[in-house]
Amino acid sequence: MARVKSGGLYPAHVAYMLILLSLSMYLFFSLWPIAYSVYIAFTDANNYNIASEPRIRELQAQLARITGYLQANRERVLNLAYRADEYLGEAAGCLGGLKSMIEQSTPETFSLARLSQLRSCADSALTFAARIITSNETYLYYFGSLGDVVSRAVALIDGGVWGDIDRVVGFKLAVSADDLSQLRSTTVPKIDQALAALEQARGMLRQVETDYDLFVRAATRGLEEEIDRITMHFVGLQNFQTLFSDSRFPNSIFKTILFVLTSVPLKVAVGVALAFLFSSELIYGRRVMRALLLIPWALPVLLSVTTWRMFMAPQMGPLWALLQSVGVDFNIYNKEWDAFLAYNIVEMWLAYPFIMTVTMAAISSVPRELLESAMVDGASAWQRFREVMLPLTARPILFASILTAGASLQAFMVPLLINNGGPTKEVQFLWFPRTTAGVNEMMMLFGYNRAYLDQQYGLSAAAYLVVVAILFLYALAWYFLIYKRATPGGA
Amino acid sequence: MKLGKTAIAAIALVIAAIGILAAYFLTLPPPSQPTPPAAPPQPQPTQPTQPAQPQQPAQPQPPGPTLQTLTIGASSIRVPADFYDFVEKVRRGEVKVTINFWTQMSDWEVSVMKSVIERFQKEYPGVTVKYTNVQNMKEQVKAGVLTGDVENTAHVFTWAHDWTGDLADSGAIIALDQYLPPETIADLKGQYMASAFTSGMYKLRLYGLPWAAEAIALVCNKDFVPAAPRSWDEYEKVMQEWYNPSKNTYGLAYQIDPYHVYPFVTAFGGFYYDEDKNAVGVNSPGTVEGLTFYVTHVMKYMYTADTGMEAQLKIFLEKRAPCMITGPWNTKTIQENIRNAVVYAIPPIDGKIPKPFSGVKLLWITSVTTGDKNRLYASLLFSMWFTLSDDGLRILVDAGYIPVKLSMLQYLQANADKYPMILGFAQSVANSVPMPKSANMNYVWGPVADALSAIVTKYNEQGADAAVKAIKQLLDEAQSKIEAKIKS
Repeated sequence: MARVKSGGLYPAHVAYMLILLSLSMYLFFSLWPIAYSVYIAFTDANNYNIASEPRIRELQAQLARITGYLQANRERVLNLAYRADEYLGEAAGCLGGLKSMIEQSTPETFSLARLSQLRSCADSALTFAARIITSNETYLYYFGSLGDVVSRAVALIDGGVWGDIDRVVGFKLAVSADDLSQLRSTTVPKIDQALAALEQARGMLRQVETDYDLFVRAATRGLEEEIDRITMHFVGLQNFQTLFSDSRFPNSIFKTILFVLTSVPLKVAVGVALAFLFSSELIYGRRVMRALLLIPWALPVLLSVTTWRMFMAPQMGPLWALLQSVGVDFNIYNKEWDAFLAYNIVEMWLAYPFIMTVTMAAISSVPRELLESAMVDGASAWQRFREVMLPLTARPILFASILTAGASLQAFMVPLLINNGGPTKEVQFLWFPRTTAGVNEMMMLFGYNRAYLDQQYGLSAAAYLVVVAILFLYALAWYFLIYKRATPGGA
Repeated sequence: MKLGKTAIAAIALVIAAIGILAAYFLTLPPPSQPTPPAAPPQPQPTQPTQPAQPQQPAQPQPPGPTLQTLTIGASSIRVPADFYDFVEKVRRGEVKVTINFWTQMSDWEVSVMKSVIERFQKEYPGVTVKYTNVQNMKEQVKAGVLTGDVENTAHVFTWAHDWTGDLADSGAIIALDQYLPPETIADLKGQYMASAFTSGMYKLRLYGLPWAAEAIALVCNKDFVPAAPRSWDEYEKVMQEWYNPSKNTYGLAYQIDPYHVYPFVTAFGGFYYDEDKNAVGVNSPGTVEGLTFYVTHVMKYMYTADTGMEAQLKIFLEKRAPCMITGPWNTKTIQENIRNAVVYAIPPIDGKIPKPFSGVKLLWITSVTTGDKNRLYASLLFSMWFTLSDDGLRILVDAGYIPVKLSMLQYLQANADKYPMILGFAQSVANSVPMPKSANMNYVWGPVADALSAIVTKYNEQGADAAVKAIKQLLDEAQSKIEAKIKS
């Protein structure tokens, strides 16, 4: 491009730089995070694959050298495998000794010293064997199911056999006949299982010795599988399919919309009513009262909703006690519609100051002359309200309602803090399959619970993507149905 | 010259933005390069100079490292000579190291931790332990490891063992056996209760050392239940006498969730998830039978309108129930309110032993420590001392923690009258099943909790019979959900 004669106010390169700057800012702060979260919605991200790079890097480094290393160090690896086999044999020998000791001893001949000797013999042999198997010098852990088999043997021995012995024998100085029979009936079968697992592992180690190339291939594959297990995968639309595979998420969308339909009229009615009430000049001290009524707006939501929960909680809350005393069994924890009612009340309490403030501003902007002339024309108080005040304040109230409906659509803190979207019951919504779910789990809360309870970040991101779509529809509807119509000529 | 100023400002802004971007990308961890050094595959098995690529510093080969015996409390542990030298140096204060220790605990626990750390500092003045109690510890630790922020990330931290799989899979924590020879591991193993030590193992590697455990038991007011009930039948008679909803008295206070009802599941041979076999047992006959028994013989005498911890604890503390099935975390509150509290084992049901889940508190070391040998050794030393020093552990026991070191358990047994509740909980731990530490367990809790809540809701709405009838189907559904998640 030909260089423009810099006659204008700004040299062209400044303009380019500014464009570059704004573009890069835009990319960095908006598009990138959005793109990332949208991407997560199409993956199987969960707690153990979302931040596993350090481990993946470590394993990939191993994978890169495993084949060459195993080929080059054949003798060494075989030697170590042989030694692991020996250690496992030693452990099996000690366990066998323990078994025959339990089976053959009487309380008099049962020696605790011999028991602890056998225990430390088995433990140290197993520790050495495990060390060789897990070591980066042999990669034996990744050979087929060898790692799992030895793990199972160790779990059986530590948790099962020693666990039983800790419990039955404990710190006794001598064992009783009863203890021994307990050991015989519960512990000996576990020893047998452990011995079988050890034998299986030894068999696999011998396989390494007979067919080394097979081992190299299998270990490489095992390592690849391990990397795959902790890697995040692209799963396409599977998360969305899961979301709509049962009633939980559809029900939560339904409940959210229902909540908007009930809570918004409630909030607006209360807010507008209070605004008109406290705009009346007949009320003495209304300024102070008006200020006090704004308190719910100023309090942190966390605090006020928790207070409301305590206020209504069964067995604890004063409101619960009051209702109980007049014969109403109000329970926010296990009654679906009680909880829903509670959300509405709390949401109303949180939001009416906003509606009230907006409405009061609108009321104060209504010219006094209009009201006075209406009065002169003989309009009654009701007519003045209906024909003069309402039309003049309708637009601000409408916009406040739209905003507060957006807040209801994103209801999160209230259901979370009242009862986490409970109670939990079987839910059947339209044709979607039955499932167990929190019946009042609003859609924002649904996404949160999938991320923080189930730790399925992919599913959660997918749910939020659906939420965003719904909010977008709402915004579109608002724009075309109300804003466009209301703007040109006023309400 | 307004124009020139604008231009200069714009250029400055651009430079600043580029600077920010550059700083951001420079501090990012290197994108996963498959092979850091594309060295031909001829790695020396012992490369002590490459801590980033954990090798085996110690080998089980005969000419292993020279070992020395380190004494912590009453325990003797064989350790590598250079570790031993390090310990001696920090004991004399010749080497100075700072390590970060993180917990996520409540206030009273924090003050206990502080006094334990103080004790450690006195013994090893060379190691400064910077203690922080954080929220969201797991996320913070993982984020710190990912960004490689050595100074501002935990070096040692503690939580219950069920995080092990998750943390190990993500590479956030190190396996102790990568840095300690098998002799050390074997010696360590002999110091703790077997089940507690195993809970620190994952995929045959040792990731953490245990310092305390917890399992639920039957906590009773001794004024009402003077002796341990020998069977559930016997306790049921107590519950029958107490249960009177019109007077707001109940047979038992008991929080309902998958963790708390587990004893009744295990008593009938049921289970949720078996990590050795990778089997889900949520709808196994034992689980169904156990929950059926639970509804008909336990829930029947409870206040079920609010089964959360606060409400149930309140019932017990106000003496509106004779006993509560709960864990050691409530010891302090209970002792403040009930003079004569005792802990009994949950009584056997027709001779079948109910086994609760246990959680073992472990100390883990994060992988950011591996870049600095002193820091790594200080972290190892702190972990060992914290779990082995009898003086330190005594502070913890006095504060109400249930020890897992064998010598401490012996001490408790010898001072049984001084620790009535702790000893009871310790017996319960010995009789427990450690929670699975597989990352798959994350998929199990949610559906089981949903099924249980649905059973409780059904019970409240339609009574015990309807609830019992619904159990099998609800559990079937939970089972299929969990299996679907594990497979995907």
